[in-house]
Amino acid sequence: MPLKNSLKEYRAKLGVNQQEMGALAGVSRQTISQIERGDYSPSVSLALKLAKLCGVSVEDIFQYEEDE
Amino acid sequence: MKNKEFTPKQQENKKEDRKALKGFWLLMLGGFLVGILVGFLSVFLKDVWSAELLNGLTKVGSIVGIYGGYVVVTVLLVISIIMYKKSRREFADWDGEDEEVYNRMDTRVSYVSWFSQLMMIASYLFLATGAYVNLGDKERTKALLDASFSGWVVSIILVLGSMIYGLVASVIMQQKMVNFAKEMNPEKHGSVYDMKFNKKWLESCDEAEKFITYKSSYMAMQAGSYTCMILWMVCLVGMLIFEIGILPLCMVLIVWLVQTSTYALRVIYFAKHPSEVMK
Repeated sequence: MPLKNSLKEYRAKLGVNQQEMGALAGVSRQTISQIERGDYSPSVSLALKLAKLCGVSVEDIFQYEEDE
Repeated sequence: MKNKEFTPKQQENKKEDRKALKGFWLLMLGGFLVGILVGFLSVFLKDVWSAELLNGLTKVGSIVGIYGGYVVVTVLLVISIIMYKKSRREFADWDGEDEEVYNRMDTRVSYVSWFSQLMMIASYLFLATGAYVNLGDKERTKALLDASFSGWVVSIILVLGSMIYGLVASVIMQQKMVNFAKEMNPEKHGSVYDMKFNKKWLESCDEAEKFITYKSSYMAMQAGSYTCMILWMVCLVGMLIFEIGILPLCMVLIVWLVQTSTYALRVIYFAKHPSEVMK
């Protein structure tokens, strides 16, 4: 699924590591890492949870791009 | 009479079926010809193959059944211990974010979990082999007892010992790796000694981990179906050539039936209760 994201930048602004971010979002550290690398596209509920933690909207973190 | 008009989707379906039908019929024809060949050969080769092959297999089985379990389990155990210790050393130095290191440790955890399952399966296999050789045939058992009663008792003890060795090694390795996985991923819960371990472990997995489990399970189910089909053919040949009876064939079909039916009934259930899927 073509989903670009800026989660790493927002996580850095929050000042938490992947483990801590995962604990706050209720997912594993590995899932946060996979999302940041673009290897995994989160569900709507997880995307909303991450956006709320970062204090921004979902569109600020995740951008949908069509395949060429 | 007016010709039936097909909807665009029905026309697409017919086109797809026509495209795939040629390969399907070729496969059916090939299977039919192989079946006829095996059937004919089983009649001619029955007397030649069955006695000689069974004698040979029994001789091999009498050694393999006793010592095979110890060898296989020990090899798997040694490899598992090496992988476990390597992961432990890397975990002690891990900064908590290096993905390459995590992936290496995680891959080793998966392999060791697999090896511990193989140890358990191997211990069941070699118990069955040893039991068959020492107890499976009345005449052979009598011959073994007449040759040496103490030798026969030692064989039985060794066979039972190999099963206990395999099971203990498997459980201990699983326990070590599960506890290590919980240290790597603190949100995970469950003890291998708990009867509800699989349920508790899955509940502590997040959505991404559950996807991996579900996709892997689906592929395992497909592999199981193909395996059942192959085993059915092997049991059929065994029944015709080696007179192993119909029971093995029925066992394979029962496994196939349970697998297929569980999948189908679960699909029906989740279609009616979609909210249960993500739990």
